[in-house]
Amino acid sequence: MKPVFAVVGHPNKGKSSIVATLVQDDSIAISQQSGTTQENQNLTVSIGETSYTLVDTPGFQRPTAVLAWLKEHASSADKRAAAVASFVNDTACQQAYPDEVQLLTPIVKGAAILYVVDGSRPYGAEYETEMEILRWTGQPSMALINPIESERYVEPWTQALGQYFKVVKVFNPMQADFDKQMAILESFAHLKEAWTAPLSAVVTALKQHRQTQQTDSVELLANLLADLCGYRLTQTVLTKGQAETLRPAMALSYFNTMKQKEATVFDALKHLYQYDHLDSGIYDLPFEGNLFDTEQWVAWGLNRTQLAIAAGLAGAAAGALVDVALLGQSFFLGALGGGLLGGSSAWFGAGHIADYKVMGLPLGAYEVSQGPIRDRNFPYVVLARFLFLAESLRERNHARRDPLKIEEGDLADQIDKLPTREKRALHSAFDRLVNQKSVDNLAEVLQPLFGSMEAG
Amino acid sequence: MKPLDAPRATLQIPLVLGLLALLSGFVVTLVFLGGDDEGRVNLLFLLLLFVFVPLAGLVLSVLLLFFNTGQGLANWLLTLPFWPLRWHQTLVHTENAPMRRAWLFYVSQLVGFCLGIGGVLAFMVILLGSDVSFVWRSTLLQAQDLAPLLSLLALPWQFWPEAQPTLALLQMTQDFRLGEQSNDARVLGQWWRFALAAQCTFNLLPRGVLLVIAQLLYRRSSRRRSAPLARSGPVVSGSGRSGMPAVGQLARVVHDIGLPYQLINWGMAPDPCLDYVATHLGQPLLSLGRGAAAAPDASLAMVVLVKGWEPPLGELQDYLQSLVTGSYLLPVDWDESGVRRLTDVHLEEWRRFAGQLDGWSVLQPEDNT
Repeated sequence: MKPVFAVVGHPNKGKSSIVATLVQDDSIAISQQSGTTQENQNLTVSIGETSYTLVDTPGFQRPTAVLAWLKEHASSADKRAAAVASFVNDTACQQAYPDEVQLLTPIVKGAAILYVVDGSRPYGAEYETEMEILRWTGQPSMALINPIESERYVEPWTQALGQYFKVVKVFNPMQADFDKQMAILESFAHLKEAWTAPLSAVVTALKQHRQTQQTDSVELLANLLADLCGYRLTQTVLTKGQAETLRPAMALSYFNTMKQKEATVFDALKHLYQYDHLDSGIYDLPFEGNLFDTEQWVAWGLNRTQLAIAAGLAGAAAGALVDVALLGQSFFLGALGGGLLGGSSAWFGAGHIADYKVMGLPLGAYEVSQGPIRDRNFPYVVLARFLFLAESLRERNHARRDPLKIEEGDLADQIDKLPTREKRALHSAFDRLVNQKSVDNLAEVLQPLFGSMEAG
Repeated sequence: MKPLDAPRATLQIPLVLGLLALLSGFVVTLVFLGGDDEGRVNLLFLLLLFVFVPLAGLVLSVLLLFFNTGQGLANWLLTLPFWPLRWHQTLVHTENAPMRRAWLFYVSQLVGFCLGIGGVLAFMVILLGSDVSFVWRSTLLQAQDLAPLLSLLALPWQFWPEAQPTLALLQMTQDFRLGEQSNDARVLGQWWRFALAAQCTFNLLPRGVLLVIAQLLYRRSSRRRSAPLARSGPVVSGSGRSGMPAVGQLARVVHDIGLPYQLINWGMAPDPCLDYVATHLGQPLLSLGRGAAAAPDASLAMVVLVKGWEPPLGELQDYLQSLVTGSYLLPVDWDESGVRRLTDVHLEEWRRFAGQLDGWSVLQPEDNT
């Protein structure tokens, strides 16, 4: 049997939060309202070749009556586990005590018990009934003290729980970092010897995946930077007047597309860290300077430079024919002169060519463009926003349901921490990006920033 | 308005470059096989064109791939200034570096392959439509020197004896521009099989293999880019997911009852809490603990004191429903320092619970709301 753990306890003590954090799933319903979990939720985490299951259960509702029923049906300690199994299978009990039947079912089937209490509130003797019922099941068990508001009553709880459970741990699903999450999973392995190997494999695989998440984050960022810094929107129009009319629409489309590109990558980053239901807010990307440009071009889709080169080549070819005709006695002056003549005519005459009309159709047109962005600070802004989100996601727990406000982190500090060589490589790469040059090793250049984030 | 259409450009570029390469290979080979005034083609130069240059290109391609620099024939071609700006934009900015490298490598191989195909096509056209005389000339080399090298080159197509070079053929096709020239067209034309086999073996075949490899690398890189997040992560599968429970009706909150009452201490509150209740509501006429044997007095208003921070359980609901009349639920929050203000969340929880019951209100003394 693969490792299965039933997370049980009083209602509203953070059972679902613990499950959400450990399985890294932000879709699990969590609220401060009791009764959110109304039936068992089996959540199986599969990674690599291995897996384990957490069963989120409804809380105890009628423990006193249930214990009384059990006592009636078990005259001695050796019959207690069987009495619990009878309770779960009894039709009348299923109707009278649906919550207890739900929560005890996986335990009767062999699941280990994770009993959750709130360490920020005083210990209550009424909990002993629940603990007694769990003891009757005879299954391996562990108590988790969840300090929901504070750790004020952890000590008395530890004292009390220690009498019912061999292992008592404090685990805050809202604040536990990745290492603590792995530590608690590793401690689950001690509950049953047969589960040690699969749970260790899960932990190892999750740790490797953590590294992969970082590598993938760097790739996402590199793609985003290259994409945003090089994005350019173009449109062909016949007159400068049309270009000016189009200007606001192009600017809007350009900014919206840039925003969308960033939002898409942010969603991908959230998905990478398994946050598919996280609401996040961010202010608009800043765009400095005039990004609008009107470039005149002439016939056949060639701009001035391209036309000059094409005309130069054509002129050179024509000149070369003359050279051939003169059997080379012209010392290739024909090719040279033809090239120069063709090229310079096209260069200086391009503006006039654009105004000509052939059969009523204009020979030239204007290519208007919005972008690419030339502001040297722009890639740093994109970087800062992305790093803030990546860092927040790494530190955040899947039990949290509050929205995330994305800001610019302290990028200067992070860059300052880099060795000079890496710092220089970053600045140089960003310079190349804003100068519209490709950076083949961009991911490599960005990697140290993520390394410092991990260390930080 | 047209944003950069990367997929379209990545289809256009190999198509255009491939066609240009095919044409170039065809024209260059055609011009080269035109030979001199008497239609003689220098076999050694032909080998240079069909074997050594393609081989050097192949080695260079593999080395560039190995060193992962992303440079290559396609990259060099695309840096020329006369391509549409859209192509440059697509390549330089909108693809990630690993993908761009893979794509450029693929286009380079395609260009190489098309050059080769163009060459072979031209060769076949010339062979079909004209007589080609293959000769070789050298000041330094003799037929005996050349034979081992050509035999070595011909090793891969040993199964084709007609395409194997022989010393006799070499001797018969050696040419001296000022000396006696061989005029036996059948002998001079015999090299075509060797030339064709060399072109196929050292250019088309390895370039084809590299083209397939390049395509695989590019596809893998594209897949990785489109789904970089689905590599090794945990998969959570589940059943029986709960939704949020319905809010339901909220019971009213009262601050005083103004009547004689009996207190049921369901929450097992300590004495300071009971003192707090007595201070605000007056002393109860009757006080019962949780699970007390005595039944409450049905003629008196009833105040059930519960732990305010704990959620209401089914067993409390059963107990309250067993009572004849509804009265007041008094959720109190306390710790060892005394009574604390009940939080709004907890108050709402108790109001929701009492709202489901018939005739029950939530009681909160004025200073605790």
